[in-house]
Amino acid sequence: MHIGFLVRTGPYTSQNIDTFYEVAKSLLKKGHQASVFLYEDGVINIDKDIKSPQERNIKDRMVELANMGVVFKVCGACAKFRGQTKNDIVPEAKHAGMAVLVNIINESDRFVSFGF
Amino acid sequence: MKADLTLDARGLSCPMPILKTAKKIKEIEIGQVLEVLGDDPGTEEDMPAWCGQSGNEFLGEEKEEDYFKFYVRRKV
Repeated sequence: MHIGFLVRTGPYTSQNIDTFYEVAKSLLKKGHQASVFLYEDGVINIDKDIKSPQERNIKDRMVELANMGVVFKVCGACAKFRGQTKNDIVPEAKHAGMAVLVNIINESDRFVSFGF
Repeated sequence: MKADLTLDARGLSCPMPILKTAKKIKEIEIGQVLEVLGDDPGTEEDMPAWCGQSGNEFLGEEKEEDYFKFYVRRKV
């Protein structure tokens, strides 16, 4: 199965991105596929400059998932409104927009949204 | 690349570049090419995705200093 995800919250405040990480990792181990659209504050989870002394590094976890095959798309408008450029995010992720989100939803067998 | 009509979508944020493209492309004939100027970060991925969804042909893009030029052939 291909599972699509939307994550709307940022790192180290809500634990949505941590739940996404654990669920996606389990899916991939079972041979499924996953794609994620990072939206609103969710775009911060892929900031390449996240540092987390003595704590899990969320950016590194996202890169780990990308290397396992998860497709990462990041809302370009949400990024712009938060001062994020493509130079601020890991190369494994790409800025995208509504048309790409529509594709993720259409191509997914299930779509899970992590919000507020 | 030569175009039959140009849409300047610079300064617009998603989803407006795509919405305006969907509207503007109706002003050209099937087979003709629309040039879209855009600087929204998501449009580079969005334009080919929209073309696939709408049945139009994404011909490519050219990078200018601070914006992109996208080329779409109307097919439907």
